[in-house]
Parts: sequence; structure tokens; C-alpha cells
Amino acid sequence: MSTLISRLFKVIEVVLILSLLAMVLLTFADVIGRRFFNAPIYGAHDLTEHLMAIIVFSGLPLLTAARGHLCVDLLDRFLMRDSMRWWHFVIQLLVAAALGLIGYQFIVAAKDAADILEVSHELLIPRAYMYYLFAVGAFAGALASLLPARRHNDVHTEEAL
Amino acid sequence: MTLGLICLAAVLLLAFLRVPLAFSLMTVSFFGIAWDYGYSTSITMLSMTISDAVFSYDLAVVPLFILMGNILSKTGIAADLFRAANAYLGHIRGGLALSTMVTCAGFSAVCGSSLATAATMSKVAYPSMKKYGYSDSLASASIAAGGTLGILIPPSIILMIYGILTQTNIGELFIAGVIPGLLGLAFYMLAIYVVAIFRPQHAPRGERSDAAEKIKSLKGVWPFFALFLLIFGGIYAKFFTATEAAGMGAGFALIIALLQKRMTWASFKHIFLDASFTSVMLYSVLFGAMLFAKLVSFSGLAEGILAAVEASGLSGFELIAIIMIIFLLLGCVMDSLAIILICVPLFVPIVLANGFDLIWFGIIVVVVTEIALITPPIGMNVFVLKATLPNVSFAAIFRGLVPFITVDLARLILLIAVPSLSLALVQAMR
Repeated sequence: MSTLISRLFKVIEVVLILSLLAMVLLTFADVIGRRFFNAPIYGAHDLTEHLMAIIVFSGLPLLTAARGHLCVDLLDRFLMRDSMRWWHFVIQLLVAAALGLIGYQFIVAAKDAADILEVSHELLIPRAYMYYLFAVGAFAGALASLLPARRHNDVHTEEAL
Repeated sequence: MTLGLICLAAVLLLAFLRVPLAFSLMTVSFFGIAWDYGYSTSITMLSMTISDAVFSYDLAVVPLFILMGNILSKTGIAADLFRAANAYLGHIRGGLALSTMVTCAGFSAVCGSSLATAATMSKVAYPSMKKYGYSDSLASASIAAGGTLGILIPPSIILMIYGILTQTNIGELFIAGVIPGLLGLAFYMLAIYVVAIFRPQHAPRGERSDAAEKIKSLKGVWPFFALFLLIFGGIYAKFFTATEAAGMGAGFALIIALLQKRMTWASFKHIFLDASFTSVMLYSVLFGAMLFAKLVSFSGLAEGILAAVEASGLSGFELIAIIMIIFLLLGCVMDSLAIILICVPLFVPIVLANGFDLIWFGIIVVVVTEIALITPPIGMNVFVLKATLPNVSFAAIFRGLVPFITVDLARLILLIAVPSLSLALVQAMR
């Protein structure tokens, strides 16, 4: 089970790296084309948005597994005691419930989007597929929240401050 | 109004009890909206908020600028900058600390994070300062304070988040941060100079560099200056939007790192994953904060606060002073991002109703949260520094920070009193 999860996480890491790299290359080429040669890449904005969506919802399970979400650590001296382990479990349950709710709602949204043929603005990419991806990402995040933490060397989210 | 206040208290309570901020905001806002409008409205609003944010081209500015900062910070540019600054300033009294400040400001111009700036500089500048006999308190405090320039001098992650939350133009916010950021640098350098004059034993002179060394030292830093000028010159001239500039910045940073052979496969992987995770974290808190902003508006909390403020008869600048005091107090118990995510939706209606400019308000909010990063008990920069420099005591760092906090407060008052310091460049740009 653990090996399977590790492999899955490795695949997600590749997806994250490639999506971000594609986003940089696409934006870079689009801006050069748009501003210097008056020849923007058609659908570049649309693709950038989709790549961002892939990054957010693929990265969510890994970030949640690494317990990398932003927390206020003022009371850590008290809350990080062994006797407070039960509270950490409650927190993870709450996170799982919230992510489960988001996942469920995006299944509903995906069905609606498929019914009304909702598509993106420029490239007319069907939204239903993306909403299914959001749902899978959110459910996987919920699961990751309930499983034991898996620290990740590349999670340094405190550097956003 | 009452519901809004209860929800605000619940968000703070959950956040202090270590529930991740994204989920404190999301859960409370979800139930708050459901209380008034029913669960079906609330759940629709939750998914709409998320999909609107995810499918927003403007928000793509966040991962791209984070990536640019990561590429340039992990490829050793800070050491080159420090070498160059030191070649020009090192020989004067307090010169190494002055060089540290200039390097922090320069590094801030490519990196939007205060903590990353402080962490990088502790490895680059601290050993040199110790080698020349600088006191622990001045050496560490210069780095902790210098790091705070990271969130004001563009690009700045905090300013991006503020811009997204208030729907203010991120490019204009960046340009507005330039003069206050440089002012911060000047004030910090003044503080170091004064310390070096009155306590010369804290800050001995370094070695003098000859003209050849000075010219050679610039070799490693010119691509980085060219990049800064291209990006922010482009934003200023309205040639690029903030997202376009971020894409250009990340693209050129990648090219520079590859051409100068400063990137290995391992560092490439680390840089991209780090930027992805930080972006996912920021998007998650943004989902929560955007939903919370809707709750603040729907529950009548914003109107209630506004009515209370009007009833109090306080004038514009008195209000700003009170808001700043609230931010300073919260800064003692929360980090800057959390404060901005929770408080900005509450205070923006007051700021707008009193005729203040949201860009100016953004700048002073960032300056006040900068101060929070170096004030006890939760000065995040101090904690980061302590982790990389375990032999330096907290007391020594905080003692060294006193002159910097003093000039920071003076700068805050100056920026509040003279809004054109923040707005002049933006008005010229418009």
C-alpha cells in the first residue's frame, strides 16, 4: 500500500513539474509573440488556466499528506504535546470533511457541466473533465488527510511569507 | 452583523487551535452562508469560488513569480550580489551590514518572500560578518530586518495576495512598493550607520577592494539587474500585465540559470516542486479568504463595521491609526499572510468609504506586517534566522532589532502622512 502511494506521489510530482514548466514556456512564448511580433498563441490564456487548475488539484493531496497547509502556530507549545494528539486527529477529520464536501460538489458540478456542455472560453475544452479532476484531487486530499503524515523535502510553504 | 461577528470569532478560534487557515476560513464561511441562505446556496458558492479562482489567468501571477524567485534564489545569485555590494561598501564602518542590506534589497527584487530572503542571507552574509568580528546582535538583526524588504520591494507574494483579495491591479501595487521599499532600505542603512558610529565594536571595517575587483564583482549580477529592469520597467510602461511580466521573469530566470550552468537536475526538480507546493498552499488559503470575504459582505458584517465607525465620529487618519494598531497587535500573535487574509476583507470597506486609495492602504498594510515579522513574540524572520544560526540567542537578535523596528515605525508614520510616496509612481504610470 505504502509503495503504491509512493509511486502515485512520484507520478503526481512529474505532473506538477511538467505543468509548471509548460505554464512558464507557454506564457513566455505567448508574451514574446504578443508583444514583440503581434502574434499571440491562440488559447494561451485558456491553457494557462487549465495548467494552473491541474497544479492546484494534483498538488493538493501531496500538500495535505505533508501537512503543508498554512497554520497559526502561536499555541504550538501547548497543542503539539503528546497529550493533544487527539486534537490533531480532529483537525485532520475536519480537513478531510471539507475536502470531501468539495470533492462531492465537483462531482455534481461535473455532471451539470456535461449536461449543459459547459466549455472553456477560447479552446472550448469541456469543463466536466476538469471538474472530475477537481473532485478526484479533493477526495485524494481528504484521504491523505486521514492517512499518516508523509513529510516531503520540497514543501517549504512558510517561504510564502 | 451578529452572525458575521460570531463567524469572525470562530475563524480566529479555529486558526489559533491550529486548524489550517484555508479550512478554518472555508468551513466557517460555508456554515455562515448556509445559516442565512441555506446549504444549497452555500455549497454552490463554495464550488463557484474555487472554480472562478482556479480558472483565473490573473491569479497565475502567483506561481510564476514564486517560480522566478525560487530559480534565482536557489542558483546562488545572492552570493554574487553580496560580493558586489561588499566590493563597494565593505571598507566603510558597518560596511558588511550595509552590504547585507543592499543585498537583501537586491534579492527582494527577484524574490517575493521575506522568510526566503532572510534564510538565504543568513547563509550568505552572516559568515562574512562573523569573520570580521561583527557582534551577533547586529549581524543577525541586519539579516532579519533586511529580509522584510522582501515583501515590499516587488515582486511580493503578500502584495499579490492583497491585490487578488481587493481586486486591485497587482502591477500598480508592485510599482507603488518601489519607493517605500527603497525608503526602507535607506532607513535601515541609516540605522546601521548610527549603530556603527555609536557602537564601533559591533561593526568593524572590512577590506577595501580595488577598482579591478569592483568591476569584476559586477559580472555575476548584471543579468539579474537586466531582468529586474525588463520586468518592472515593462509593468511601469504598461507593456506587460503582472501575469505576463511574471511569465517573462520566470522564463528569463530559467534561461539565465541554464546559460550560467547554475541549475542541476536535482535543483530543477526541487525548485519546481517547491514553487508548486507553495502555490497550492496559497490557492487553498485564497479559496478560504474569498469565501470569507463573501460572508463578510452577505452577513452585513462589513456594513455593521462601517456603521459603527461612522457612529464613532472618528476621522480618516484616526481610523487608519487604529487599523494600524490592530494590525501591529495581531502581528504579535499571527503571521502576516493570516492577518491579511482575515483582516483585509473587514477593513477595505472602511478604507474605501473614507476616500483612501486601496493601493496606498496595501502598501502601509504590508509595511505594518513587515514590522510584525521582526517583533516579539512571533517574529517569523527571527525564528527562521534562529533555525539557521542556532548559536545566536533570541535575546541577541531582538536586541539588535530595536534600531530597525524604530526606523520602521518612523517609515510607517511617514508613509501614512505622505501618501504620494506610495502613489507618485502609480499616478505617473496612469
